[in-house]
This record gives sequence, structure tokens and C-alpha cells, in this order.
Amino acid sequence: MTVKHLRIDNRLIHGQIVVAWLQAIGADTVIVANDGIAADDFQKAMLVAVSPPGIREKILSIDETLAYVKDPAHAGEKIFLLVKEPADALRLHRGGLGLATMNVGNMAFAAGAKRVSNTVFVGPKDIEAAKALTAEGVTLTCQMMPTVARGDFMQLLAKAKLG
Amino acid sequence: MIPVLIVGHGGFADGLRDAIEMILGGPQEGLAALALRPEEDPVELAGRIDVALTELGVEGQSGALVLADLFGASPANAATSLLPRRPGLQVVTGANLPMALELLMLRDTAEAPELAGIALERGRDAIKDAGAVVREAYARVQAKKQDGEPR
Repeated sequence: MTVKHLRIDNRLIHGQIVVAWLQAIGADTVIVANDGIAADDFQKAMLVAVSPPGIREKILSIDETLAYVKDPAHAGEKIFLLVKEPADALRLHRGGLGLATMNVGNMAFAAGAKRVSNTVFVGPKDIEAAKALTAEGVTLTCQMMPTVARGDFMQLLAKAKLG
Repeated sequence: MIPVLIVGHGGFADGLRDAIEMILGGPQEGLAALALRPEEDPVELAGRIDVALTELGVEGQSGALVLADLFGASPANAATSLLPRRPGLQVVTGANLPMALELLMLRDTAEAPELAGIALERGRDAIKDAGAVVREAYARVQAKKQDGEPR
């Protein structure tokens, strides 16, 4: 499997990713999978600019991401995959990504969102996508940094009376 | 694990620790912060640094890192004044967030002198003209598009 880790993190490439995750996962490639950003040159440039040296960075739409990871030419890469929200993770899963586990990192507070943890807030669309992923056999973990304990996202949702 | 003590003027040390804990996800073992108070005699501050180091488990020869905000200023001077009694101490000035994060991630695997070197290198490398970096990346993205390369 060429995708080593999928992280749901609305901040995409930021301090925690650059400082800790890429190294912990041993990634040589980081893919940001987001339709809006892939179509916006300036937002793309901002992500390209902050990617750490020595890491191949790709800013792709969801469809392009699926094509990229399935391409045998990229079979040797160690990919760290970032999406903004569970709905995009679900699209990747349904498109044949084939990951058994996905991790929820940060999800910032948005209007109407409910608190799951200090750094994770979810809206109805997020909960729906998380439930669908689980129903389709994907385990959702909740882990902000590689050095802290890995939580079970659906258990946290249940605890917050959201699941 | 090499203990790290941050010292500085006003809210600097607490602020840096607060930023570290936000990024690393919570309180860090073996990390402390100490502020020079406006009315404080540097000799008194040296005494408090000494106590803080002891509380971090640093004894006599053992290694520790002090990150101070400004070379030649009282917090840094107070730290270096302890060197005769604490020869294992490394004091690095110009403390910044990138160097602090790097240290905290590597201090299980490296000794204090090596960490001091890493702090200097990382602290310098991390100072960037971010606006220029983004402008250049934007120009690259647009040039690629004009060449008709796939995204």
C-alpha cells in the first residue's frame, strides 16, 4: 500500500504535520486532496511553499488523487494523504482508495459544529460521512500528534452524544 | 530526556511554552519557563534558575538546555553565571519556536551539547521571508500551468 496514512485535518499542511507527522510516518510524498484548492493557483502555491524540503508535494483534486495513488508509477512512494473533511475521505474510500484506517487530526470549530475534543468539532455532514466510513469498514482513529495515544473517533463521537 | 528551561523578559518564556504546548498537543515533561520580573536583581534570577533546574532533575554535571531570549541580557547572563557550578548546562540565546520544537522532539536521542548545535542550526534556518517564498511558489505554479503541464 502506497498511502501510509490519511489524515483529516482542516488546516492541511501546518506546524504539526511539518514538525512531526511526515517523519513519524516516514513519508516521502504529501498529497493534499481537495477539489477547491486544486483549482486555485494561489492556495496551491501557499501549500507548495510550506512543504518541507525533501518531500514531494502534490495538490490534487479527489479524482486526481485516486488516479495518482492507483498509478503503478507511484507504487514505491510513501504517501501521507491530507483531506480537509470526512466527506472527502468518504469520496476517496468509495473511489477505491482501500485504506482500512483513517485518522482525524484537527477539525476547527465552524458555525453550528459540536465539540468532540479540544481540537475536533463536527457538523451534521461530518458525522454522516464518519458513520458511512465506519459502516463501510473503515476504522476512524483520533490522534493529533504521533506521540500521543490514539483514540477511537466513533467512541469519542458517542461520548459526546453525537454518534 | 534532556530537560529544557526557557528564560526571558516579561511573558516571553511562558508565551513560548504555551505555543509549544499548543503545537505538541499538551504539557511537556521536563520543560519549564521562567520570567525575569521588572524589579528583579539578576542574581536573584540566577538563584531561581538554579532552583528550576534542580526541580527539572538537573544535578551538578548533568546536561540541560537553557533557551534564553536575548544574548547579553539578564536572563541569559543569569543562566551563564551558573556554568561554574553546572558545567553540563548549555545556554542558547535568540530562543525561537522552531528551535524549541526541534529540541523537544530530539532530546530523547541526543545529548545536551549536540542539542545546542541543533538549536542554533534550526533556529537560524527557520527564519524566512515567507511572503517571498509564497510569491515565488505562486510564480512557479502559474509558469507550470502555462507550459501546459498537468497539475
